Amino acid sequence: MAKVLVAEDDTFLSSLLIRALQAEKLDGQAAYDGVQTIEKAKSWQPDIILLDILMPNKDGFEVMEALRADPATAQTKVVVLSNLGDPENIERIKKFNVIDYMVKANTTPHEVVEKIKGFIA
Amino acid sequence: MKDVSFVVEADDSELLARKTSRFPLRAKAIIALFFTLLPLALLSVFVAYPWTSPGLSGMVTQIQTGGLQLYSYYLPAYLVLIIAAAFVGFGIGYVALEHSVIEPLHRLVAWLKQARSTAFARVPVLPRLHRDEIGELGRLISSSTAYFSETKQQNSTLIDEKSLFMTVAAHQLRTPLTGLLWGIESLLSPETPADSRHQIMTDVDGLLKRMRLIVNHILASANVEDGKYGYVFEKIDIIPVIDKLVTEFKPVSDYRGVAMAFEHDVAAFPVYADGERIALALFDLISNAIDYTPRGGTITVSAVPQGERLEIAVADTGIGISETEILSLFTKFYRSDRARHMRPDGTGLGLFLVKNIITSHHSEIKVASKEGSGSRFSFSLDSTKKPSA
Repeated sequence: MAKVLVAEDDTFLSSLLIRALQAEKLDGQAAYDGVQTIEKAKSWQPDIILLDILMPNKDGFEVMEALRADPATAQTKVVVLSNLGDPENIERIKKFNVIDYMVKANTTPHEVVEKIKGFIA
Repeated sequence: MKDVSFVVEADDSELLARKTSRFPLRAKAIIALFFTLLPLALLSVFVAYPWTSPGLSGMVTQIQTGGLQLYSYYLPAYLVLIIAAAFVGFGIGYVALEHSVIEPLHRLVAWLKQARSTAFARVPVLPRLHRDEIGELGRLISSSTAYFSETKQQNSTLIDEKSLFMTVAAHQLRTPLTGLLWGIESLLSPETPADSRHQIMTDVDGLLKRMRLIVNHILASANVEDGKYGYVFEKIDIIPVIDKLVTEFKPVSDYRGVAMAFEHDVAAFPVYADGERIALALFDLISNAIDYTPRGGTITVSAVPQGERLEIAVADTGIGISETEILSLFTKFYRSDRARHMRPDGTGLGLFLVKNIITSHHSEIKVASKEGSGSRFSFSLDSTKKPSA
């Protein structure tokens, strides 16, 4: 079963995403802030990370910096799922070699999971 | 625009009030014309009077008496003198015109071109001009460019602010909107188990209330800015208002693991206030206290009479605010770095509104805080004097 780390501080959104992942037979685990995301990325070694940008303790940019600097997570696939939709932030996070950037309000958990399945197939 | 070097007339109003120039062009023109014609006039006097030469009358006499030959050698000399006098007059007239009109106009045009070439972003120092109409024209153009640049800058600041407001407002709404969309999608899906449906609906309800709060904040802030936030001051007992709010917040503070209490020595204390707005301010202060106090902390809401006033305070044992952060705390959209880290989706409008509400009650919002050990926000309401709306 493919492992998906859901980095999302909003517990409600996180629970809906994990529910949608499980419905498609994917193993979803939650990280509720930036620090947790970095820790779980290392210890759990997910196949793909769904990353929010605005998170407590460490934001998505800081998380990406830490992930890419560590050989254990340097190659981990990352899909950004954020409500920050301005080009400036998209460009900034894309420099960290992320596969895709989705705006939360313009997508649904169902669509997100479909995309993820395509990325890990 | 820091590099603007405007030379605004020190006393613009004096310039505007002045009806005539100190040394007007008209006077200059009269004097210049006088000196232009003076050489010719002098010559004609010289020629017309016989004590220096036969003069015209003398010449006529000579012609009549047939003795013209005798004096005819004067004629070329007369012509030379007339031409010389004309040249001198022309010279005087030209110098006067050049000095008082052409040259100042050239300097003014060159200056204006230079200023225009930078779209008035950089206006060079106005050249020295005489104290006449041209000088006034220069100073008026200079003060006008300064005036228009200033207005333009104010407008663009206003537009920037409004567009920032729109962006922030839309973004604030996007977060709960996402939850609503996702929650409803999940409720519509037949795969969602029945036992989790109730939880989803409770969450959706919470999100709708959050959206309502955001919309109210946005509307109130817009009204505050336009000066349309009408207050209705009445004498009301504020104790039950606070009590009701604290009771409503109890489930939230319990959920967050923060203890909350309302301490008051008096059972009732009527004050002049806009009850609804004071409740909104207290709502924001209490929800901030809950948001920025880690689990295990305490929040104390208190009401203590101080003479004819009642001091209301919301104190917490939360993350606190640094001295530099306090300076910008009540600015619209301002959020401290630590607040942003702890709650990334705050509106940054709450304290801006709180300050406006408290100030409108002729009171002052006071903040006492120590980084890491908590904050105390307080204000007081008067029981005798009704604030003017």
